[in-house]
Amino acid sequence: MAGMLRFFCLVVTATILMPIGSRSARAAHVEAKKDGVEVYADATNKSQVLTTLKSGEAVVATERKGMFWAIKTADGKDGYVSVLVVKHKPDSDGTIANAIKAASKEGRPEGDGSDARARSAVMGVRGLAEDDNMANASNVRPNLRAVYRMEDKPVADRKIDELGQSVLKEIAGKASAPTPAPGK
Amino acid sequence: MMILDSHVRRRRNMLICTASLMAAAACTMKTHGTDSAEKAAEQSMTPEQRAIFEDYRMEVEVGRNMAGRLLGYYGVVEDPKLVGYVNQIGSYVASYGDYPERRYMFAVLKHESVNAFACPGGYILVTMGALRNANSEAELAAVLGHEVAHVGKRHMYDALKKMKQKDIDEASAKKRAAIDKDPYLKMRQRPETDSASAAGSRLATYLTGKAGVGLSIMAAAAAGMQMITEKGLDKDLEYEADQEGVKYAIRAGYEPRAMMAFLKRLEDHSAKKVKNLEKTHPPMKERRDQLAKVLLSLKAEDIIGADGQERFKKVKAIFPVPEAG
Repeated sequence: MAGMLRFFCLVVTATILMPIGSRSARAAHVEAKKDGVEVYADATNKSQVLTTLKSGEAVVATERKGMFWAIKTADGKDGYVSVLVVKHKPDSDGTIANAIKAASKEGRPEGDGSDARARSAVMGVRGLAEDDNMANASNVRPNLRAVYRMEDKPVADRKIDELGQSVLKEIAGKASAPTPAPGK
Repeated sequence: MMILDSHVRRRRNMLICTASLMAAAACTMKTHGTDSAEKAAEQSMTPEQRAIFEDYRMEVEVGRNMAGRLLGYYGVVEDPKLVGYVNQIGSYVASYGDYPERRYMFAVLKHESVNAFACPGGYILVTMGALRNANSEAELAAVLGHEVAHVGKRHMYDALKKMKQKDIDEASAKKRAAIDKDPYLKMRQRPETDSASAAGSRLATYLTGKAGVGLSIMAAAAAGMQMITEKGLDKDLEYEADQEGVKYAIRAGYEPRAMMAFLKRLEDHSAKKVKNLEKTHPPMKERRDQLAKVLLSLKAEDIIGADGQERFKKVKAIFPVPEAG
């Protein structure tokens, strides 16, 4: 029994600690791939150039607009940079587990949560569709071994970076391809 | 729309609390061994830290239990190349989401229905049917983005916490009545005291210090499933997951209209699935109308996105042969 408890302790602790390991936030910043990256006032390269970025200079990216990232520069200017001249930069603050952050959300129900845990054992499932017999899943023995396999195989940062490079390469290729004539 | 710099600021505000909490846990792991680690770490927590810690731990436990049941029910695809690919795409899209610091884990369910599930704690399960319905990596990315949004925004977990005990009891009674009427379900009913329940009980006992809680989990599980298949989540949350998922995929560089294409194909090829889907989700047309508005706001018509066709074709070639029936 002690061994089992130790195992569960390890699993739980590892799961909690893993999100604050090497994987880090990626959404918050982009950095210039070359000197002179232009920051535009609007999401078009025909708009006013507000400033330029040096190679490696990072800015906060807030959202995509067409082929541009809406960004905020270090000196607080809002503008747009082309997605083709910047790359994603890991966020230095990205080591904090979001779930812990979410714990501080307001308006949560009071209580010790034990009943929430119980009722949520299978309740939180949402997806694209339901099949007719899905309710039977509540009578199925949990395959915890398969769950632990999911937990034990984090995706390496290198694999994610490789995919990101491939995606950008495809976009750059399409962007530089000749535009087909209207109607074709 | 979530603005990322405010998102970052909120994360930063939590840094001190989190870092000290995790450092305490890590140090005690090293110095006292695992049995005493939990107690020592907990003793060093402030009440606020403890509440945060417990909530996340609970979310992980819930998600683990749910994912385990779904994996047990549907079966799991073991092919490491296929599963690795889905994990790579899912993690990549999640890294462009609003909650990239969370951990997301992906598995493929051995079932031909078109479905995907997001369990609290980051356990995301997608069926083989959903993979087959996708025509490109971009479509898969959008589908996984939808589930990442559900997890990141804690749609399910928050909904669960709002449930009342009365609802659970009513649903549980309804479920028992249904099982009693159906010989097949009765035959398949799992006794609450079998080894799976015992494992759940051990985990719950460890986590809560309350003996017997595991059995309550198992009983409530049946009730919860009954409720979810009938009621579904708030439709606004489904719209939000659609919209956020598409945004994440677009940020990651994928073709913006991929989710629309996926839903359209599902609608065109599987009227039965759409009917089932619409029991718990907004009507397909409304989902696509909502998505169209999001795409407009993102100037999607100007976006040149990747579809990842070459990679997807290679992976499609290793899809397992569909099982008969």
